[in-house]
Amino acid sequence: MQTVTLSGFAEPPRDSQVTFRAMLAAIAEPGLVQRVELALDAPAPLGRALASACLTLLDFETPVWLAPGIGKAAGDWIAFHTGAPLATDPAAAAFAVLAEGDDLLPLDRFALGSDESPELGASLLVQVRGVAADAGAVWFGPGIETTRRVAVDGIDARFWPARAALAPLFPRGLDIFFCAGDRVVALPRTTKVEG
Amino acid sequence: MTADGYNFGYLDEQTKRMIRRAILKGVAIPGYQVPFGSREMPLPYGWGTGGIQITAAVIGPGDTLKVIDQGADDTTNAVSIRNFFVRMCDVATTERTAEASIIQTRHRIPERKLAPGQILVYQVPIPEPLRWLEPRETETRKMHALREYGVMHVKLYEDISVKGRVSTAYDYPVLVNGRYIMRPSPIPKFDTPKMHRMAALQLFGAGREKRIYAVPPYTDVVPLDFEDHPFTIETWDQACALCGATTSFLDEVILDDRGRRMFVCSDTDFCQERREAGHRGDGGPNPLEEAAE
Repeated sequence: MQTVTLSGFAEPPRDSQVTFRAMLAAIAEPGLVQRVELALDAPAPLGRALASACLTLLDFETPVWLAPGIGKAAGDWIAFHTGAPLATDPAAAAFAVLAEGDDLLPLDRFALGSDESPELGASLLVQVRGVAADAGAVWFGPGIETTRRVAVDGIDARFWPARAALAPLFPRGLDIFFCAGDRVVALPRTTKVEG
Repeated sequence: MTADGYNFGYLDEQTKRMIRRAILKGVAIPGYQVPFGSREMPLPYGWGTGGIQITAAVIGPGDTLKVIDQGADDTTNAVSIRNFFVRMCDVATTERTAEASIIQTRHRIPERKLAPGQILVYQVPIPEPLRWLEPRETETRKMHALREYGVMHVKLYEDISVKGRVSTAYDYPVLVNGRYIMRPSPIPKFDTPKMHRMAALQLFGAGREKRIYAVPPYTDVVPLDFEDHPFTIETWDQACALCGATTSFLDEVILDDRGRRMFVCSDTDFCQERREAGHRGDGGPNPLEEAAE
């Protein structure tokens, strides 16, 4: 049997910097849609933004948990290109990668960090159907001047109350990047969502 | 072309990934100090290694970099760091605050209001605001975790009871997003109010102490004070001798041994722009004239 592993970044220093800046801008201003416009041929179900985020942030230091929807081809691609150890327990992972349709819940199966080391709370990289600005729920908090409207399409409605239930645990919490195609929107633990 | 044999931005890719992860967590938890594996840099600790590592992890070919040291673009530290990034990244540089996408700074915030999308990188010597009150890192981590900040208020209170006012003039402790007490790096307290709800992203790097922290745009940054002793900033009864500005932070320049002095803007770009727009100061005392006895 023959397998073909698709290539990663064409020029890793440049491509990872471009991706990181999009993600930094996304998390600095939650709800703003950023684009990762790189020609990256990643296996389904990984979209460009999600695949680029994996190559930019994951390495041997970051245990990653792959949701069932990621599948073998994409999982092998992530493992091959990043060298990240695959966690079998989501609580042991620094990053979790979820495909569209994967169950985000329950959220407390992911690492939330501790009060003394809240940075150990996991980052979730989530493939969704679509992200759009100026529609949907109202977001506010650090990085948002007044409020921002953001629509995240294709996630379970029960996610929002479950996430809101984590807010009292701050500074513990989860930081989430929603990716759709080449678009990315970040939802850090400080952002409050209404409606 | 960047220098032969070096990766873009000097740091290797694994180091950049580690720093980038720390930055993202820092932004997600405003004011919280994220530990990171600070690397040896080709200049000594205390010269801005934390800021340089952040800039190196953030910068790309499309960026325009400005570096200031105490407000000035033309001091040794600023020139050296700027040249370092020209050699390591071949990026465009500028002295104009408005034209820069990344501004690395030691001890000042530019006078010009920063715009959305700009990134301000601070060089931080001591990141822990509670360090002089509690030397043990294990304890200060607990104090931050429990939001146990009484000791800081006691310190400020003791200042007032002994000296009549808070004596901290720079690196004034601030409360970020209502949660973490943070050192804003040794900026004069004149600059502290500029951090409050700033449109630009603020990143802080402490190389020797191996900490990264951040303040996202539009985030509350409030100096600690008391109702009956509110926070105040420095004022001057002079204007800048070169550009006549009355609203900027002024440096005192000693002219001779007879006590003559002049005051000029600390922010060289701000002063230059004002002079180009036709503003003039009184020029200060003429050093060639004999001082009046």
